[in-house]
Amino acid sequence: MIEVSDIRKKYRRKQVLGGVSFQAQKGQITSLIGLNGAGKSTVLKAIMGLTPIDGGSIRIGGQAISPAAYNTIAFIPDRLTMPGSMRLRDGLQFMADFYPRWNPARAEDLMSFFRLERGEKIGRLSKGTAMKFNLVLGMAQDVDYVLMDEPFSGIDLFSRELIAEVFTSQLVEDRGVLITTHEIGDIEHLIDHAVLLDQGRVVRDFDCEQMREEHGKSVIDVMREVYRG
Amino acid sequence: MKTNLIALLKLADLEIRRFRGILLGLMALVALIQLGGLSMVTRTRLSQIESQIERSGMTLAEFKLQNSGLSLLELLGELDGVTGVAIACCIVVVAAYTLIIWYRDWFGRASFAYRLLMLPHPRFLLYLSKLAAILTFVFSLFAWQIVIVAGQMLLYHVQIPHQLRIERTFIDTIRSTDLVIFIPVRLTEFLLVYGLGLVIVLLLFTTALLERSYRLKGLLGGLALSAAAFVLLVWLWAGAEDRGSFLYPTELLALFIGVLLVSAAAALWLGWRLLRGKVSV
Repeated sequence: MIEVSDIRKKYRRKQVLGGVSFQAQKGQITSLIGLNGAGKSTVLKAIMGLTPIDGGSIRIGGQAISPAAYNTIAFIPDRLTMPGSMRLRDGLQFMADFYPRWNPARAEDLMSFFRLERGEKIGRLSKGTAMKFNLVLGMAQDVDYVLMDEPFSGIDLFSRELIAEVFTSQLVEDRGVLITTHEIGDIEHLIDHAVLLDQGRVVRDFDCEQMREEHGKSVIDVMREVYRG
Repeated sequence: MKTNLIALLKLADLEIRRFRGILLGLMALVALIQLGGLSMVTRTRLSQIESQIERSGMTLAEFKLQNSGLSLLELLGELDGVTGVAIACCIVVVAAYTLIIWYRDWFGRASFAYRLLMLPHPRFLLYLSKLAAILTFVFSLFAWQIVIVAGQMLLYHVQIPHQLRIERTFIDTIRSTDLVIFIPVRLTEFLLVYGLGLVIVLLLFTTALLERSYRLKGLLGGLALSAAAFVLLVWLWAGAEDRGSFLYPTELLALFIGVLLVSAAAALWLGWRLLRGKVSV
């Protein structure tokens, strides 16, 4: 389980995160939802130790983040994370070289699924293709948790469909997935748990199935209540 | 331990491959300037000597007796300006790359810093791999400069008739030129020159990491720290060469080495701390 407890962060004089707490369970898809600037990406970066926090704590499987923890958690940011001068095959080799939990067979399957060319230069990929390759780099690791930052942002319809298919495959089974998005429509039916952020604070935290059964509301209905008042 | 060592070697290899184009370009430029320059200067001097001989009706041997021949050092002396420019180019590029090696991972379309900071190995390996890459860069240029001096000696032998040559050993040639600063022939000089260079690289690394951690405040702090250490080291160096100083040169030298070691240790420690928990993407 990923446990985020009361994390706080200021950037210059602005409070970016004002005491965010939630949990993301293994075997579930948890979505961190919010409008632009709500603090979603900062939470993911804080979990991965990519930005320091001013207070609170983060634990992954009961442990604080450390280099060893990067063997149990993968992060798929909203941008390319490999030098543009590399070819896709170099990127795959880089992952194989440095990540003991890298699964080359799964990487091959994903490369075929997304129809990616190993000889293509990373710097020449379109935004959609770059996100597909980013997904390969994250999903081909045998890790317990996967974090994704806005995987659908600025991507064409067919690429979005292809990426959404990954969520229904065995690739996410038994793993804990934490995904941020402001385009909830693509994955609403797949989410188990939703955490709504607004101005750096958690405003709603609920089980989607329970919400549907007990209150007859979809995630979008709850979002409307929260963000439109 | 073994896994981390392998990761360090692979990271250093990656860093070296990323700048090999710049390094090869610089090597070509330096060779072109120094060898091409020497060849041009030699041809001009030879044609001057030939016309002098023609006018006076002397033989080459007689000319040498009267004018003591044509030494390589004399020819290199005419090239001092361009050689200085070539070496200054190398220093500027290495100094700039010492900062670029960090910033290229943060800026641009690919944020490689994300990937590097998420490697399942201690983050300090990034620091060490970049340091190893810069040292490779510097020592490659250093080794190349030695090859160029050897090349210049060869060119001298090919172009200058034996009657005009003044023979000198390889070490003597290096020792007699300004290159002696960059190619120290004594071990202590080598350790001091390259020790100072290493500390400057460490201070620049720490400044870059302070900036990546605390942005403008970090940059100003890093620059102040680096400037203070640099001024102190230069002052001690100058003092060691100044006979009127209140301390003996050996005492100043010991102090210089002490400041060098303290600066290096402080920069490494700060770099380790920043990478561990302060640096952000």
